[in-house]
Amino acid sequence: MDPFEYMQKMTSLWSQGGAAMLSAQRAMLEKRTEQAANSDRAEGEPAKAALGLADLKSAGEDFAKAWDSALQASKAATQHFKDGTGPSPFFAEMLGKMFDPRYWLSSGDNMDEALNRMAEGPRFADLWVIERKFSAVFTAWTSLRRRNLAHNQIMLEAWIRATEQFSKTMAEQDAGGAASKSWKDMAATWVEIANKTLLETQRTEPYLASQRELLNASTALRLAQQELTDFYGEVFGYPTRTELDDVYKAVTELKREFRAERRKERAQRDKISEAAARTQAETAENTPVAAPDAPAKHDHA
Amino acid sequence: MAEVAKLGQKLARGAELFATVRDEDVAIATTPKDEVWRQDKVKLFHYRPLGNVTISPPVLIAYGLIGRYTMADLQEDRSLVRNLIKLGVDLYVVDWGEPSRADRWLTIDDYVDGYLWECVREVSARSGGGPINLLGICEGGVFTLCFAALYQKLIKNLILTITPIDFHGDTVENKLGHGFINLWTRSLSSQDIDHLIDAYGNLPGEFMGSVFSMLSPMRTLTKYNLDMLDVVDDRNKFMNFLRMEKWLADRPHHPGEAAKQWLIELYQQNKLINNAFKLGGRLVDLGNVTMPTLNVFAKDDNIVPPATSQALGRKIGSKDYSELGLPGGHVGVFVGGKSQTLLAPGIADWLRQRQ
Repeated sequence: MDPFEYMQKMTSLWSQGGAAMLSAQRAMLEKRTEQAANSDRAEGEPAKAALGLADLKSAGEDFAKAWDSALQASKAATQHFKDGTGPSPFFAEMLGKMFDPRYWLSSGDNMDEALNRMAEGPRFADLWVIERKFSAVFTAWTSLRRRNLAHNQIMLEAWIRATEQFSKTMAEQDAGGAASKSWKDMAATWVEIANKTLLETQRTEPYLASQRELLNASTALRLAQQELTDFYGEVFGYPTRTELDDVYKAVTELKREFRAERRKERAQRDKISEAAARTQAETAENTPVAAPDAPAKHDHA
Repeated sequence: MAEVAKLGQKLARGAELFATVRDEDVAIATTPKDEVWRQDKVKLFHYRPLGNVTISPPVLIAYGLIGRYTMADLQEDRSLVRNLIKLGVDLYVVDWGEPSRADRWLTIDDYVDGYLWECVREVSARSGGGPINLLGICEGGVFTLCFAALYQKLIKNLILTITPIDFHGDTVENKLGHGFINLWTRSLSSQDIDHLIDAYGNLPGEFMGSVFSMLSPMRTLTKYNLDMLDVVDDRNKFMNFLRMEKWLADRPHHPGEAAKQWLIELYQQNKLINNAFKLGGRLVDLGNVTMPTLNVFAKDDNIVPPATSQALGRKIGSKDYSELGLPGGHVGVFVGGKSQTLLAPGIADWLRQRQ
């Protein structure tokens, strides 16, 4: 078959399949709208929306048929070219790609690709991103467990020292002929010795270093978890922790500005009131007070 | 045998008490007060007088962001608030509320320049418009000190209690068990603190609670067995124990950016005593604190060792600066039995002489 005839045939198949798909979708949506309007429901009950799965399935089947035909035609064309009865093998392969509907769908439409990705979520290219994030959480968790063990070791050594000191103290008291103690007195001695040992341990470099590493490991785990949840939040459209923090920051800054403006306004009002009060006081000072019972002056013409 | 029997008796009485006491029975901060102003989560309360007001102007209490002011009014017979009111003080208190992650961007500037400024203005307006008395507790003491340095004309007298000024002053006495928070914070880098705040948004209340628990490690371990065993058969002592626990359990989160300033600029870099701390773009110069100032500290304070507080004497500009060292620890100086006859009378007498 002439290549251009192949092109025509496939274009026609695509058009038919595409039109069938669009028509099926429109029918499905119309049906859904009709069902929603006519659904009998009690007051307050949500409308029973039919999923229209049957229509979707049917549209999908139509599309699949069109796709299948297109693929068959593409295979035939490619084979024809490879048989050498047409253009050179290089051009044959190139033409074969041009006639392959898969390339028509996947190439040249970045918007379509972006929209698909946004709607459908992770694709194969993203799979390793998720795995890396899970791996980071697991690594942080094992690091925290390791730091816990290291810190527990330091604490255990401190407890052993305290126990040794307690035994020594008890032995010294016994050797000195001290009266036998009640359980309460012994407990008090133990508490005092253990407390002192633990407080001394707290001030040592290994303890402080271990505490710091433990804190950092805990923080790292929390941050790794947050990164993972933020990732899923973005994929599924939930507000993420980072986004909320941004909102809180904006609100805090707005409140600050508002408070500053209100304070300026108040200061201005106070200034005006003070000035008015001062003026009033000065006026009262400068106004002469009339002498009491002064006889009225008459002009005796 | 006798000891075992006695213990059994104690436990039986304790079990009875446990069965009868309810959460609503454990009430703290019961001195009557009225909300008179509010902004965001911050509320200003005015305590109702219990007698004649003989000391003026009013006193505004400002606690910090770690823990809550209710410690100053723990119970009727252990209450700085109640004692001050009985001694004739017209009293207000600011409650910073319950910060959440939404408040993570609030800074100390917002609290001092913003909320505290509004509260001072409100108290002043309600009492004739003149300067008022400020009483700060711990981190609240730092807030009120900074306020006094920036707005001298608004404050008549300043009272600081258990307030750290020189955050490296723990090395002066170097007493075992004292100043661990100072030491621990200095062992971290500023980046460690940034990451901690970024991860949680705020400095979580339970985190600070666990740090405080480390200050007396054995006490923490034995509190609910040995210590409670001592009080479990005495209703009054048991209720005192539970009220203290109720206050300890109330640990609000510390807003993140304010926590960074607190831990990095103050605890690590010690900017306050060096007159290098800035709020609202202005330098907090302790030399500008020129009003009469009373600095109350606890002699056995393991959280704010005395030297960290007394350092104020070297830098303050006021010519009327007094110190009052009281027996007890950081919280004990407020809630201890002996303190009730020392703290409030000490403050009231000092104020009376400066009306």
